Amino acid sequence: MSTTDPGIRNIVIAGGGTAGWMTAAAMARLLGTERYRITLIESSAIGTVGVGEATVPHLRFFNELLGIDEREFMRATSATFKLGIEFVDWGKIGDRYIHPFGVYGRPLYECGFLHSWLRGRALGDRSSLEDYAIGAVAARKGRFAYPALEESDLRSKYSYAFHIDANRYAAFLKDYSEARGVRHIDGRIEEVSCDSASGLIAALKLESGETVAGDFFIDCSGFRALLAEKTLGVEFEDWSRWLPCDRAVAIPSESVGEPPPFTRATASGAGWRWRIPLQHRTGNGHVYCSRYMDDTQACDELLAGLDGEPLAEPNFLRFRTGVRAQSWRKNCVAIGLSGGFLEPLESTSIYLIQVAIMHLIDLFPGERIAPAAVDEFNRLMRTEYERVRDFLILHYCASERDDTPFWNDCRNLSLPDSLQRKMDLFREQGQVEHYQKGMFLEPSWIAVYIGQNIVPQRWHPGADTPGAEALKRQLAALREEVAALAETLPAHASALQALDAAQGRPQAWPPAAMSLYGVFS
Amino acid sequence: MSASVTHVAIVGGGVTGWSAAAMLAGRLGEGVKFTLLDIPEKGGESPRCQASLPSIRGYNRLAGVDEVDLVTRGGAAYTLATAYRNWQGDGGDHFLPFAAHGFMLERRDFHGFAAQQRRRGDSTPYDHYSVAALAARQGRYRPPSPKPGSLFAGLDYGLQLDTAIYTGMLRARALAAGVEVVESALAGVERNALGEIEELCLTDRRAPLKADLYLDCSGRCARLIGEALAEPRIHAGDCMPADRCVSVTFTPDRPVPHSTLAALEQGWIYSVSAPTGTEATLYFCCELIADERALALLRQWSGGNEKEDGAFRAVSPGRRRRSWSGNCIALGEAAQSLDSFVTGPLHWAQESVVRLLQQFPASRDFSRSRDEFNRRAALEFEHRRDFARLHAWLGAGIDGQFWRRAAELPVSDALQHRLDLFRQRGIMPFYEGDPMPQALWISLLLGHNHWPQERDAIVAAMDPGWIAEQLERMRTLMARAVASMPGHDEYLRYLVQSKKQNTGT
Ligand SMILES: Cc1cc2nc3c(=O)[nH]c(=O)nc-3n(C[C@H](O)[C@H](O)[C@H](O)COP(=O)(O)OP(=O)(O)OC[C@H]3O[C@@H](n4cnc5c(N)ncnc54)[C@H](O)[C@@H]3O)c2cc1C
Ligand SMILES: Cc1cc2nc3c(=O)[nH]c(=O)nc-3n(C[C@H](O)[C@H](O)[C@H](O)COP(=O)(O)OP(=O)(O)OC[C@H]3O[C@@H](n4cnc5c(N)ncnc54)[C@H](O)[C@@H]3O)c2cc1C
Repeated sequence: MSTTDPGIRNIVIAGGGTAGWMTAAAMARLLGTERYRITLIESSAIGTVGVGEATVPHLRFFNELLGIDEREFMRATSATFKLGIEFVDWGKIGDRYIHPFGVYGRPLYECGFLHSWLRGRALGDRSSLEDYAIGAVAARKGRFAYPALEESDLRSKYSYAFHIDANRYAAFLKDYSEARGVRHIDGRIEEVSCDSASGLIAALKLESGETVAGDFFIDCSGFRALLAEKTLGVEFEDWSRWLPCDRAVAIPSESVGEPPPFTRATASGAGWRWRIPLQHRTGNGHVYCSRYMDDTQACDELLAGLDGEPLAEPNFLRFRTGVRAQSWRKNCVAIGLSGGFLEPLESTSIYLIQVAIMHLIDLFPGERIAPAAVDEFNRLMRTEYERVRDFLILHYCASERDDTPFWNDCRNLSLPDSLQRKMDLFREQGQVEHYQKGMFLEPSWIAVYIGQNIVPQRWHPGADTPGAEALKRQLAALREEVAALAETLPAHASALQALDAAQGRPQAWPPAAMSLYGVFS
Repeated sequence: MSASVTHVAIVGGGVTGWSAAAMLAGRLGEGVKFTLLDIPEKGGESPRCQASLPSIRGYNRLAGVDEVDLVTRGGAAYTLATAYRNWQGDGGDHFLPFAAHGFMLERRDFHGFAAQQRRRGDSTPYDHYSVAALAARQGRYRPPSPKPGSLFAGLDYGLQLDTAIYTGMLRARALAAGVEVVESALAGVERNALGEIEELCLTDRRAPLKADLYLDCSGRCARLIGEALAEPRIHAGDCMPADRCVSVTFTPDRPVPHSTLAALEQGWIYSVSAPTGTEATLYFCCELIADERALALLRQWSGGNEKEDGAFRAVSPGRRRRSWSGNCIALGEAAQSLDSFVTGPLHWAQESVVRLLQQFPASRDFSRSRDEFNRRAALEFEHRRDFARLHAWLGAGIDGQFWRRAAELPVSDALQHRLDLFRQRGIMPFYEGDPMPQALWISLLLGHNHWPQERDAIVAAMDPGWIAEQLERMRTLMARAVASMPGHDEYLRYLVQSKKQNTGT
């Protein structure tokens, strides 16, 4: 290739939902619009899915990368703080546990804290594992403060994310991107033309007759997967045998009382319902499996479970869980719903968008597309999706519920080997399969295993060191320390008010990390 | 519920056996009893000197071996890097530190900036961006600084150990932790109906030794996992063309703060200097040169002041299919063997001890923990083998039959992907279970001038003047910082002096 070759300069993003605008904003910031021409095409007539309001702490890292003021972002998106997710009726009807963005206790002996807790339990201590996670305790008490920056302080052992208004977030990023030179076109894409020799995508033809040519295309067209599937024919790998929910109905409702700093996911007879508290309203939805529940029943149950009055008509959505066999093929990368969807139980979609963007920018072609870079991107995304998939399946298969055919089938799912192995290992002696990269690491697996009553028979022998009474005393002391520290945090509502008062003042929020669990983990 | 694991028998009193005994007995508390079986007069086959990665410091802390004590007894010198000599056949050298080079700029890894500068015609060697590498080259050492912003904060160091002195200290820790020693040879192994070990029969008409778990630390003869349980060995001889090696020890002028990997036409030499002496080993292929010639080459390289005659050894890389089989866990050479690059075999033995500690079974129902242990061990070995194979790839430009053979060895898919992605884009893929620090792969390639062909899109979008300035500043600051460091031998003497003063002797 000659050195005068201009290389890849003209980037076209098809779609202006959360995925499209996150991609545009990050590229404008990190690749720059002097060097690259970045165009985003969306159709306001088609619109976006408009859901996707619960996030994970990694989003803070994304914002930080873009130099976004966190308070400004919260104001623009009517955000509240999120310390974790409360799961209701999952293991059994009547069970509740919080999967916090944080870790449990601190190691007392030669092994993780879990093992001391397990031994305490065998000795008759009835405390819940949650009592040792400050993030979970604060969430239950409706309290919030930024985590401490002193590593020895237990208040540094949690992290936080946000509940956001998805449409406002896309609008916020649209402003951000346009201010940095991203060209925006509102119009329906009618046709995609490819170079006949190379098979590369060459241009998008719009309803208006305009043709937008490009060197590199990002498919952010949502479930339609206009470029990846319709044009390039990249297969979709169906995972619905493991994650069978395929419908959702969403509806906003009036806020009632102070917004709790956590998402709630309540299991239903054939799926689960979400409740996401924003500043100005509450987002609600019911995710269900059409084989076991019809739309009317799903909607009725959703309406019956609302805390406040509905604010709009119910919005019905259909989906299929699975992943694009390759998110990157030729000169096109599928990001967002076009690349795969694993259902929203653990708020993973925006995270998956974010890591796809970050990997793409790292691997972004200079002069030409390196096959090794394409392989690497696909390999990384595949691993991310598979790890999230296994973690989501765990919520369904680790249940004792036998009240509906749906749950009976979930209990008897034939699991991916990678998950079966993890569960067997945990059951044996409380060991969580080790991996370094991935969204959910040891504390999350422990949260769901224990929260859904998978309790190992044995614990690491390192936890056998202290006498029985000494261990019980240590557990009690730690529990009290956590409870007392959680008491020192302000109420969530006052933390939100304080934000307004602090607008424009210097940064007060802690630095972000690509971790679910806090600044130090 | 099945029976608890309360008694562990360790076979072998080499550095692996005592590493395991000191760590496990020291950390697991009184619930588990350890008995170590050894023939004292026989002695093992360990190299005299071994270099470790920085993680050995954590191991020593956990196992209760005091580092300053170890150093002042002559049991260890420091190492900041590995000196690579002549791997491109041109007599050139470069120093490979443990930690990444340079500093991140704008949240981007440093090496992308170095590559960009290179493309613009700046030919600064990559190791000029590492305080550790510069210090190693000049024979200097100082401990890392605890201050986060300091240039010395990232000065990661490992140890060059005298195996015998270090083993002695581990032994003392193990005995203090209550490990019982049985001085007797293994005469046979009784197996139960499941094929697992029932008990160990000893010589000298001693009563058999019965335990819940057996650790095979008997070195390459693999008395338990190999001889008794016949666990198959998977050969990995296709990562380097060497099948034999010869070692000599000699006294250098002064201990240098680095190990050395020097490529010759006929193979390569790995040398490690502990305070008590330097050991150099030449790896070669016996079809290509005779033993006498190999020894002569090694003597020529070491300057001829060696203390002992050369010791020859067969080289046969490979691993047990399962290192934990039934109720027997093989550690060290009994489990796997691979030639030393950057670090000696001890490091890998200790890594597996740590893994065993983390998942030490409370009861004999441990089949899942065993599978997980084996899964990780196998994964780790694959990447180590690739790291060795990479050296064969690096040396492919050297004249001679040895390196021509090296160039023809097969390359795994994972290694091929690493090479492709790095050479095209300057990115090193991340592999789960790879035990080599990411920085080592990158530095090894850049140190040998395998610069990426394409620019990093983000770095390319930044102001070139600013980048040049930042790099210039880094180099100046680092050079100045290194000039202020004491010599390695000076620092070792200082430690000994202050210890004498403190103990009043
Ligand atoms: C029920 C449900 C709940 C969810 N909850 C969460 C959650 O809590 N947290 C979370 O992280 N994620 C959640 N998600 C996922 C999240 O909503 C999406 O990941 C996110 O909104 C990104 O969507 P998108 O941008 O890929 O697609 P969309 O929002 O569908 O955007 C597609 C874009 O493509 C454009 N387009 C399509 N066709 C054309 C055409 N022919 N011409 C021009 N433009 C076109 C559209 O106009 C639109 O702009 C949820 C998803 C569902 C279904
Ligand atoms: C110069 C040199 C370089 C080397 N380089 C490498 C390398 O690069 N990579 C590599 O993998 N290996 C290398 N080795 C091999 C090295 O032997 C091992 O890797 C490792 O250091 C061995 O330590 P160990 O404790 O496992 O075994 P050893 O030190 O061999 O100890 C085994 C112990 O078991 C005892 N024992 C044996 N049989 C019995 C029995 N029947 N009853 C009771 N006790 C018994 C012995 O007495 C001995 O104490 C090298 C060896 C040498 C000499």
